[in-house]
Amino acid sequence: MARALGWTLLCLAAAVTLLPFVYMLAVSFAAQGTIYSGALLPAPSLAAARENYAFALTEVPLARFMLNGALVCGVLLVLQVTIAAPAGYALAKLPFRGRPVLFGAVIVALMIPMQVPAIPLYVAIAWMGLLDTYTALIAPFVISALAIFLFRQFFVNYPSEVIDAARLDGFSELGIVWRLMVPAAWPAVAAFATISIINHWNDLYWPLVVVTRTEMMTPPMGLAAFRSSGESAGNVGALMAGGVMITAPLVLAFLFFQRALVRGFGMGARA
Amino acid sequence: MQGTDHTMESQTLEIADLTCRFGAHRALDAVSLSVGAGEFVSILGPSGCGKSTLLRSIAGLEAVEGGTIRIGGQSVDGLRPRDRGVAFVFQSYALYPHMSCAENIAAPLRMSELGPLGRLPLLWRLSGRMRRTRESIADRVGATARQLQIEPLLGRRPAALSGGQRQRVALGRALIREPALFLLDEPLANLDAALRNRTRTDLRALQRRIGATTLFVTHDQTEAMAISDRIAVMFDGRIHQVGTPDEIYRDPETLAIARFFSQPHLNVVPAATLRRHIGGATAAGDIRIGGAALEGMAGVVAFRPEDASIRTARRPGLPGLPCTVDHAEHAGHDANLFVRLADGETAVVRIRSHEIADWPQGAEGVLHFDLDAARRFDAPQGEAETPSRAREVA
Ligand SMILES: Nc1ncnc2c1ncn2[C@@H]1O[C@H](COP(=O)(O)OP(=O)(O)OP(=O)(O)O)[C@@H](O)[C@H]1O
Ligand SMILES: [Mg+2]
Repeated sequence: MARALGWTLLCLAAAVTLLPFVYMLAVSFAAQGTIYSGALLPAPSLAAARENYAFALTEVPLARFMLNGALVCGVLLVLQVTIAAPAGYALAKLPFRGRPVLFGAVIVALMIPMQVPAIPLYVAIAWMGLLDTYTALIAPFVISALAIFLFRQFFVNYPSEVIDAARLDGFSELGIVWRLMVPAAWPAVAAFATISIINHWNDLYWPLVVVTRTEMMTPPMGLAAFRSSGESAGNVGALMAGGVMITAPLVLAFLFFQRALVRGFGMGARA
Repeated sequence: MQGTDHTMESQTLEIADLTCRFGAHRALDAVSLSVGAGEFVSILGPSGCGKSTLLRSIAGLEAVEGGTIRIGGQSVDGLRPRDRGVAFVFQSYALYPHMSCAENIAAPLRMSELGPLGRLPLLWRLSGRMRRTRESIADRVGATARQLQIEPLLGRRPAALSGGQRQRVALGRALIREPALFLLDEPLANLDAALRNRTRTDLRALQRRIGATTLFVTHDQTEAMAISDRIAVMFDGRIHQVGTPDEIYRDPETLAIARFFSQPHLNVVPAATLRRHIGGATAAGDIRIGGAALEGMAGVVAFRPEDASIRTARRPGLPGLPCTVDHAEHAGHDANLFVRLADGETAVVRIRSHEIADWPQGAEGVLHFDLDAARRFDAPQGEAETPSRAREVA
């Protein structure tokens, strides 16, 4: 009985969560005239779908936005992991003076929202003449407190004797990080990759701060620009088609990493 | 075990005044030890006495506060662990969990003989030199595996092995480096009793064949006595005695060592109590223990249950302690008979197990012990005034 109730509640919650996506998908397939017809979901039509998607792809450089997004997310992720894995290793396994303070600082950094350092960062980037560049989009996020924290938590349980054995076998400290620790921590890597990609793909705030030129726009920013651009105003079908196209990569990435993601966050709370 | 053996140039090891501190706690306190080339020396001591710390310091894994370590006459102070020419087998085996056994065993060679490029997948195929190095590594892994009889396991991950198999893989990873010095930290501790006995014999035979200088850590005195050329007994971060198994068994220098080598029981009786029971002399002359007269002796006298006997009546002319039987513990061929001495102290006598029936609880007897096998020790702190007891040594 309680079980059935639980299932019902979960299904309801899932439906509420999914409904906007379903609606977005349906509208992107529908002709302009049928959208406000009063039906719960407008009827799809192939011709309308083709028109909507073609409009979204041609009216604004949506492909360029997605390329920008992929580039920013990809480079950023590589840099974040490159920096966070050795840092997490040091915090987990290398005894040094001031380590607890440094780890405390990482935890504090986790709690500071992006908006706090935004203005000084903007001023610095503007002063260096880097506005409207990939550097401006990437550099502020390269050191990720979340990644350092996540890796540290994973590495701390790695057996120290194996690390000692590696030192005797001739591994360098970085060799230990990349050849032993990171392969053992791939659920953490996958979990972090998913969070990082979702965050930065969807981020509208920071691109709005440092980007003004169309060809540097990331997907959500491009979509916002598309909505307010003169020709497409009111073309809800095309807007939704754009939305579908910039959401799809994330959904695919999530499905791909799903199991690792659950394991990565389930650590320490294993059933 | 057969196959191509590794021949190693064995090296001497000299440790002088090694001190290592964790906060205020001295894990190693001026430890000095000399090990000859090809010698097999056990470090024996109770849990927490600093055995692992000593091995780790020699390997360069622990920062030491003072003292010097020489391997083959060369000081290794300040050398990185990889440059010291030592191989370490850890108590937990410390295999790389995500590598196959073959990759585990090959790891030290891959790190020392292949450059960073050679370790990359595929790229090595382009260079003939890298290919030959890889082939030579694979050959040596095969030879080592044959020697340890683990060839069928090479493709498996450590998680899919039994404790004994893991131990062999760990040994293989150490062997393949052909080290000057072997450091083994309780490599048998995680094996069951039968496997432990067999493996320790194998281990010693292997060590004899390759002739590598070996330090072997254990807290099991029978294991140490069974396979060592010499034993270094350690307590509280200090080496108390170094000697052959026979020297230490017969002539332990301190009461603590005597207890450690007389598990589970050692009879310890204050000299004064002994004098009260048996007097200082017999018709045959002064009673002497460990070369000193019992008359006027201070400290305690210790003797093993196997050096004691119990009889229904005093043997004429020999000193004996009147006693009452408390209970017996069957131990297979022999049995331990717990008796109460005249003033309530307990002692243990080794008897044959078929004699248990002769000694029911409450039976009266006389305890004799072999005066030549008994030893005198300074009374341990705080124990001088308490009654002697047969102690269980944990
Ligand atoms: N990293 C460390 N930090 C603080 N204290 C330590 C550290 N390593 C060891 N010690 C302490 O040093 C002492 C010796 O430890 P060690 O591991 O050498 O003992 P051991 O003789 O190997 O014991 P066991 O037989 O249980 O393995 C112990 O009291 C231990 O608590
Ligand atoms: Mg130990």
